[in-house]
Amino acid sequence: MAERSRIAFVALLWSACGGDEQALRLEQVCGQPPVPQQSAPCRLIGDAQETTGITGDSLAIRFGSAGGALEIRINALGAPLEQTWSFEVLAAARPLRPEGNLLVRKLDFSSCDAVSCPEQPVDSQAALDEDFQWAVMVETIPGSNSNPIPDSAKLILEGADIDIVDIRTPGFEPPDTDGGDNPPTPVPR
Amino acid sequence: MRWFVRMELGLGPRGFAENNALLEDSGYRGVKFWVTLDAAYMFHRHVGAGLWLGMNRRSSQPGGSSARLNEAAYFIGAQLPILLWGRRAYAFHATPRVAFLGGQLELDDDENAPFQMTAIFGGALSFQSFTYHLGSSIGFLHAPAGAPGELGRGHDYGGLYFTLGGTLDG
Repeated sequence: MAERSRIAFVALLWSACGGDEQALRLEQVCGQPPVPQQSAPCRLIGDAQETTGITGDSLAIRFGSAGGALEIRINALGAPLEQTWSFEVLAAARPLRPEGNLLVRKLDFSSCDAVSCPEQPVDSQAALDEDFQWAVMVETIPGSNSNPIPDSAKLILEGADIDIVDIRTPGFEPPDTDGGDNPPTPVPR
Repeated sequence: MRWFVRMELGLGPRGFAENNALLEDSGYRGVKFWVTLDAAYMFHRHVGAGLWLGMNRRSSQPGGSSARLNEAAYFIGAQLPILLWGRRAYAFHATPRVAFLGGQLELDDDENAPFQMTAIFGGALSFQSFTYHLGSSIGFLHAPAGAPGELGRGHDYGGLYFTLGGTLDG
């Protein structure tokens, strides 16, 4: 009993101190300058714009009413190089559309050869409401298992009237970076 | 006792607004550290009036490689300490407060997030021993500000807090 209490106390303390989850991976993935000889990690298409999110200086993406998309280079996420991976988006709908606000996820592995690319799942979508929620857009699929993935492989999020403030790849710990000391750079359009 | 001065240090959880919950959803937790200084003149045996000022601060960097989040707020205002029970040796006070707050929520990078200004209210229940110059309080501060970022939600720079401190009186 005492041992259980001690474990519960340590868990509470760990949780209060921040735990081991990564935060604001959108900032980490899309807010960093591109690595030389690689394409930019993120690209905005159509009625999508970069803005600020849960702080006045954090990166967030808004899909406007005409519909837009965020294209993320798969390699920039890191997690798809693991044995398995998943991907979630912290998003909300604003304003609500009569037909619903759907966030659609596509994976484009068209340029990959069969050996190195992970399995390409069918497209998925999540219905969003006005409250922010973690929408599961890739639910535990096989990754490349350390085989290189071409830079042209992309994960694409599409939608209209949708606010995105964060992304995450549960269970994957990205390599230690500079802790966000670099200022966010504009996402190329 | 005609007047007192009190300095307290304390800890508390995050504020209760939607943006505070959103930050937690995104991985940012951490305890908020509070410092308050107040003084009052007791114009009646049970009722006084005075000044109250302080700050709170929270810093969180989940996972070690995320952008560090810093939240800080500074406030100054008026208070109305009411002696509920006791005398100089052991006294319970309830203290309603109103104040003005400047708060900032930002990531630890080269970009500065703007300060947000808001009117706030709150209060504290305090147990003091002016004889031994010691005291302890449970406080609450409602400090609603707008969304700090374009896509964020309303943020609260206050919350619940528990403090320990020292007193002087005359």
